[in-house]
Amino acid sequence: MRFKRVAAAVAAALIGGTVVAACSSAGSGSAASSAAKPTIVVAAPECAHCLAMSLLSTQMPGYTVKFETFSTLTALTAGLASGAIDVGQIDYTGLVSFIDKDLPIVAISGEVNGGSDFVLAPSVQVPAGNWTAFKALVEKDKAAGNPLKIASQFGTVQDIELRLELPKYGINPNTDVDMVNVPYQGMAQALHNGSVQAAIPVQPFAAAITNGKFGVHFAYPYNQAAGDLTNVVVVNKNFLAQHPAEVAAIAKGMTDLVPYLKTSAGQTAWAAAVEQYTGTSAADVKTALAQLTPDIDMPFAQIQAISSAMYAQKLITTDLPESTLLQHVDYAPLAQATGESLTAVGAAGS
Amino acid sequence: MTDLSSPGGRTDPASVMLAGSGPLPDPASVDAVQAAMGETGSGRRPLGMKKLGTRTGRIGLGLIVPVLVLAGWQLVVAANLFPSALIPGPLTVLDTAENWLGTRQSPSMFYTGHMFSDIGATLVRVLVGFALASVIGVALGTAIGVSRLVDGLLSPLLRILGPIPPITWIPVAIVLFGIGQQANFALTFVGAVFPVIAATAVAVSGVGRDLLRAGRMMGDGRAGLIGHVVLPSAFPGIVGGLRIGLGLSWMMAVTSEMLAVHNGLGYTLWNAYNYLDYPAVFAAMIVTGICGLLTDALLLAATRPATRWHAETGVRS
Repeated sequence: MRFKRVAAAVAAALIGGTVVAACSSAGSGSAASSAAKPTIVVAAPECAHCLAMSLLSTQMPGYTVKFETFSTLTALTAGLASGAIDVGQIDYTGLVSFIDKDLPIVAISGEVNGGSDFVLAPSVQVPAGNWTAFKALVEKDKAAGNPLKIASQFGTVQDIELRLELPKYGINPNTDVDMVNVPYQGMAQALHNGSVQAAIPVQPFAAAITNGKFGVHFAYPYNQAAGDLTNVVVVNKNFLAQHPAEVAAIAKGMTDLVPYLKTSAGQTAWAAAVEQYTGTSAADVKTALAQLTPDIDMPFAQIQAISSAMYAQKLITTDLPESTLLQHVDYAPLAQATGESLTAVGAAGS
Repeated sequence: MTDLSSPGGRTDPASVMLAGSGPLPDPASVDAVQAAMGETGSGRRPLGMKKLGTRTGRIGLGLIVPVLVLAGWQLVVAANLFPSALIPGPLTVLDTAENWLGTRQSPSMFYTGHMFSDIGATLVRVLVGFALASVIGVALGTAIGVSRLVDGLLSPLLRILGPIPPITWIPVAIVLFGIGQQANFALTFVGAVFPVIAATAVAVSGVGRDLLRAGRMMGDGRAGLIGHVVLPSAFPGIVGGLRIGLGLSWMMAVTSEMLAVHNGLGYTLWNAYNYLDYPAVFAAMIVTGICGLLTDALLLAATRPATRWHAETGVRS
């Protein structure tokens, strides 16, 4: 009898939960429609930088901004290219991949840069920033037939940044070290059990790793042609052509959002969003946000550097010429929103 | 190994019970059933069925739906319902597969010319993970099927663990095994073992008591009954579980290859996915499917001698 009562209670809870969820979903839909404002669907992955986009609604009072999160950039891409999403926030490697595949995507604004952290396992006795010592360790491990293992999530800006950074110090990322594909979520475990000696996570995973003592900060991989370029806001080409007013509003919203993120109130709201969506602790979020740089510009030379690096790594099919890249990066909405020149917001020649 | 197909040495109780015992059926009802199944009263099959009985006929029949799917796929692409970069056409995928195979060198991609080494790497992961899952799964499933005590001890935990998506074991695998082959083997094992256990337990627990009585009458003890009666009788069901497990081994091996490997079908698939190279993603999906089909055919061929009696007593027309 007791088992039956427990089973009945569980069943009731499941059914009740489903009904509540359905009602809540329906409620939000009716609320949105009753507002009678144009709706813009904004999507972003769940990294610390990306979740700043959840605050875009506060900067676009004339619109109902519906924010969606995606666990993978590729899923977001599919939604964007198919028109299910109006505005997407992706990273620059994603943008270059889009351009290589001639997907109808156009970048219209920068968002937040930085957030990459090259960390070493605590057992690796190399002082932070001492690339000479690091190179010596790499050579020693390579000579011993056991190249130093670096965990990197392939396909990300962090991966590309490190592949550009290492040669600056005479280290070939393809032959001198063993770069292995490990999702951000698995990097702490991999460092902890000695499977890898280094990792290149993004925030807030990097903060969780350093604060949790699974790894120690070694360097920020920004001393290369792509700099700290990370996130970019894109729209579908059809959306750009057919909804110029919305695109202008988005560019204006981004122009207001980026300075807001640097304020105390903006930092608080941003931290709350990261905590809400990722479950990251307040301490880790604080560490993470300190390493992020809100930036509206889209520096073209750095986009070209990322494109060239991806081609060199055989990750895209063509060495994309400037003209092709420019078909997918539109500086006009941003220049109009900021009141600055095209070159001031990153166009070639700046 | 016990000869399950031929009663030449020791009489197979399962075959005896299924083929020759029990009350004789009503001839009229047998005719009706045979007619419903497409057979003539004399046991001959209609002309169409006879053609399908040949190897060529079966292959031809099996190709009909894939060809229709390919045609439908091409139609969808030709209709431009989706961006071609997201849903590439069959010919584009074929071009990419040639590049992967190495018969085309341009463009030079990270996977160019690596198809066979990728297949080999994944195959090793599948075989090791599946072999472990088969041995442990059949042993545990048999124990659960024959013993209420073991059933009571293990089934609740297995029912909790079974529905957990294997991909969520990745962090656990990293902690327990580090990154490398062992983690891949472990993840492939986890993907395959639960259906093997479940199918074996169901098949074993479903063995008829009459068969067990027959085995006892022939002098078998508990171990002998399991070896001579229970497992042979349950084997068709166990093979069903192994086939599901083998398919899941491929799925999980490919999934696990997102983690710290340098080759494999999954390595190519996930990398291509990360860089939005959908023709390569589709090519990897298709090659994985074909590999799964071939290994399934091998498994069927290897187990057919032990399951032929079941096929011959089945209802399939």
